[in-house]
Amino acid sequence: MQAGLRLTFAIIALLALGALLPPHLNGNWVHVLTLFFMMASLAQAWNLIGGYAGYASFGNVTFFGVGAYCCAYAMNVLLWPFWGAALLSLALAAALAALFGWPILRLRGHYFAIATLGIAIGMGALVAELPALGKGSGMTLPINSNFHFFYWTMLGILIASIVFTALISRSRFGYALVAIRENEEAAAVLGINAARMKVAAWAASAAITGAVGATYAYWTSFIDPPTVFDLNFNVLMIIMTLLGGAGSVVGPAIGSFILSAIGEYLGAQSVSPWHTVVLGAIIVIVVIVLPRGIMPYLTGGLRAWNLNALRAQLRATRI
Amino acid sequence: MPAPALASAVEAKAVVVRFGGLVALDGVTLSVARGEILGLIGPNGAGKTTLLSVMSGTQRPTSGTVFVEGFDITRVPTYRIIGLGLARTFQVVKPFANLTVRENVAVGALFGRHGTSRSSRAAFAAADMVLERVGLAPEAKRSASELTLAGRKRLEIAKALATDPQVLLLDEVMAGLTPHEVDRAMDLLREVNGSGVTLVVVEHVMKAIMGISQRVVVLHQGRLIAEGLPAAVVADPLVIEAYLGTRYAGGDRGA
Repeated sequence: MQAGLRLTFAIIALLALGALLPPHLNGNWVHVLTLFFMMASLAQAWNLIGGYAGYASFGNVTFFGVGAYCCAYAMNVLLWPFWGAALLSLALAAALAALFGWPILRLRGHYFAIATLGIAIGMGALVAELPALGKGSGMTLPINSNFHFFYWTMLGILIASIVFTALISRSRFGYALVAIRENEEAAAVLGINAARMKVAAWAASAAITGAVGATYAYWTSFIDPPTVFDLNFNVLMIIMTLLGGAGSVVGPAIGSFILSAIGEYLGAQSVSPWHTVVLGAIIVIVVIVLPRGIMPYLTGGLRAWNLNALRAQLRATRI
Repeated sequence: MPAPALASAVEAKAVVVRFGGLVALDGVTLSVARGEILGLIGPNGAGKTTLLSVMSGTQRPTSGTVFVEGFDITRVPTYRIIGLGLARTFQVVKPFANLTVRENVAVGALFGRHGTSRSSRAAFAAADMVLERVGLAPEAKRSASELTLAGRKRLEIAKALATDPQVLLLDEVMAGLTPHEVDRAMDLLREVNGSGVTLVVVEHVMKAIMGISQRVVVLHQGRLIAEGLPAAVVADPLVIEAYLGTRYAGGDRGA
């Protein structure tokens, strides 16, 4: 626990220092880091419902897309400033998660995953039919070429999501979510209102995701359904979280850093066809060898390297 | 909610539970007096766990009613039952495996009967007291998954105690324990009952059930077939028949 807290502080401090970097970076690095902050924030958000509450959502990209479209509509049609539009996106995403979550968070395991996948696909298709949202042809947003602005905004969201996770991890809410993940019936008899806690966790997860989606829309200044409802985003959120450590405070951010770094390295080597193959192999290896991600190795010191502990972990994943 | 003046802590009235074609409970009426230790025994498959689940609101009866402290809980969501002071343990232990022993117990104290009126700090302090009480303090910082079976059974009791219950339903908390561990568990249950907690104890370990119960009820094929003092119940021919078959029950009713 103490080691975990130190690591959290160290990473927040490192990220805060990152705010000083943009004037010293070229445009490509600003772009790469902004993308990393974005993916890390999405993974941190996914971790709240998937890692803490243990409900594997394949529908979080819904809130990314909804956030993006809400921001586009608010800025383009309602002529709101970005901050107002982003807050509206955040609120709308949270409200949608609560609305969908109430019925479908009663489902468990695969059933929940499939239902969330249905929502993501359905929402993308719905948006593509709405004339007010440009049907399938997408929407443009006011152009802002100050890319440092997006760097700082995404970084701010990432730091906020890590601080939020750190706060809930030691709170009544956090313990309730973990208890639900470990055994929902045992949680209920101790007095935990599982339905309400799960909905709250998904709404919080969606709020962060919606804000990221809004920022992304303004950043790229053009969005269409296949881009912002792309299930690959959702898959990446899950992989990054699993790689870092689901249900840990900073695991998802660490996982996205590693995956982004590998992606950049392979990309820079111009081996692009192999890039995806290597990533795929990494994912398979992670799930087999590091079922709890790399966090236990960062916080548990040498003890976590104990082979017996690793074997026990492996057994635990193969119930 | 003003509690009606009633002698019974838990009352089941004509409870029927059907799982498809199987009748698990077939019209069970049972009253648990405040402050008593009630032993609930019966052969495998008699419906003991189902009755405990119905009384704790984790299983809805097909028909019939359950009252806890005079309140009808038949349609009350499980998580609200603890608000009436009723806690339970599970026969198949359900620890929060990735939390420490102390955190497991703290979850009971963070929610439980006092709900959210307690600060986190106070909940952890309460958890530490429960750990002392049940003898798990030395394992407090270990992961719950590392405990022995006896330890996990003890953790089940500790989590339930941390909710500060008035009624505690215990489902085979002694199964699989060594004789010495059974003695320790019996001491703990007597101590808990001494502090004013009503206990309903489902148990296969006869020595334990005879040793601590003030009253015993016997369930067989979903029905209550006997009730009374422990010594009288085990001498009841119907009970012997239920456990051992007709040959041992005396008389010539059997083949």
